[in-house]
Amino acid sequence: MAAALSVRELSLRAYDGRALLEAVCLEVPAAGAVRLRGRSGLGKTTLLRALAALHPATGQLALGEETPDSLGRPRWRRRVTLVAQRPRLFGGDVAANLERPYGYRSAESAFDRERAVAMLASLDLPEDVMSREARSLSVGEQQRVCLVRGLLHRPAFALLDEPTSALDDESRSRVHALLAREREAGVGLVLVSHEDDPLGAEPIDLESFRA
Amino acid sequence: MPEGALALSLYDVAGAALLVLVAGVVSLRLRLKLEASLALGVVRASVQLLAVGYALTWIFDHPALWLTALAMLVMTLAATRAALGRAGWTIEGGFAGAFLTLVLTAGLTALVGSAVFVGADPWYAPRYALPLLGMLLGNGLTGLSLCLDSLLEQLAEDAELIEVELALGASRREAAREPVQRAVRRGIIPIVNAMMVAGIVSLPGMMTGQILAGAEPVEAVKYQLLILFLIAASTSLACLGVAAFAVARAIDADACVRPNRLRARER
Repeated sequence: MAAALSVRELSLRAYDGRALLEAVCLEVPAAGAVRLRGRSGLGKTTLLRALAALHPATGQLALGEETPDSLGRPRWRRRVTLVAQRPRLFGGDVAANLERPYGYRSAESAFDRERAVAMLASLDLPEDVMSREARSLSVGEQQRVCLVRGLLHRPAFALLDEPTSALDDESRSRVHALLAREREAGVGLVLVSHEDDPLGAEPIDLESFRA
Repeated sequence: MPEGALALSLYDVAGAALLVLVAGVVSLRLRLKLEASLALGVVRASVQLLAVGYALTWIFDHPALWLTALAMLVMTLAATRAALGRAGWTIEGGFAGAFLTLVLTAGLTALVGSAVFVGADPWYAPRYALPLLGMLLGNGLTGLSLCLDSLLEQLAEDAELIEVELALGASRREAAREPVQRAVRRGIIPIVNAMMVAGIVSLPGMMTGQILAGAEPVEAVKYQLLILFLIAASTSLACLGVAAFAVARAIDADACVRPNRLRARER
């Protein structure tokens, strides 16, 4: 399933009708990584949401031969998975949060608890965090749980909006190490990030697509 | 007037209205400032009900399909307004959605109830269809407004969480399941409670009215049960219908959350 994510002539508007970006073209090879750059308010977050087919846009979006229409939105989003900047967890414990997407009809694999525990551990979250009430965790812990939830099923591309914004330096480097490992396993990355990027993601300046 | 019914004179009714004066005095003594509202309530109820009484008499004397249908539409429009009037949230197209839902649930249930179960002749006979519709709308609008209010509040306040579900591969039905469950539950609970306590805590209003008007209690009970069941059916369907409508507006056909279609109403 090594397919590139290609974006052709994608144009977006904010929900209030304001034009944000116009005719965005970009191509991310399988397991590649890009970092979207541009001043705030330009539409970086909206573009990420549009790549996940969560925001209406005109233009073409494809993963190899597949499109959001050919796969259907739910299956597209399992392959091109957004992890939003603000951590949002469901009620219940962390395990329930990580397992929940495997209850959807679009699920293509079974919940792998061992992998989940290993990923959490690599982010300095010990196994007992699985049984803790998700919403009682600190913001930094929640952000890491959300990241694990978005990567667990191993999407073709992970769309990460400021994935380390609530983390200290130690956790941040652990996240980078996890992302590097996932990339080696074939997961492509599209990042929005203000920090200097140790992942070697190719910077893409969105200023030129400003509407 | 059935045998055994004791006819009320307008003086009797006026006497009962005088009793409301007691409440007015309490309000004055305790400075509740409700005396004006109480007086207005008495006047409004009198004028509205008398007008309806005369209108119904006229419609019953001239049973025509178009007239019955017109009266049903006007009643349903008024019920829709009342159902949405107090809601804390509004959704684009909400009035049309709620109106259509009530037409398809309360309206159809009233017609089926009077034509099939009561055996009205002609099938649309206003003497049966209109009072039945009134009972169904009165309960249906409460259920619908509780359900819609709860659902819109959740859809607006949990929009980000719903988007997380969608981002992880949920269909829009899966993403909306929990809010819809909670909202429909809230809409149906009043009628479930009414069925639970019927006859124990209170005699339902319609049955009381029939008994006072001279009907045999068991006959009145049969009618009351029929009504309760029709209310339960039409209220549940109205809640489901309006929930389906609201979800389809708040999460579009491409399974994108559309928060801009919801608005908090200023109170």
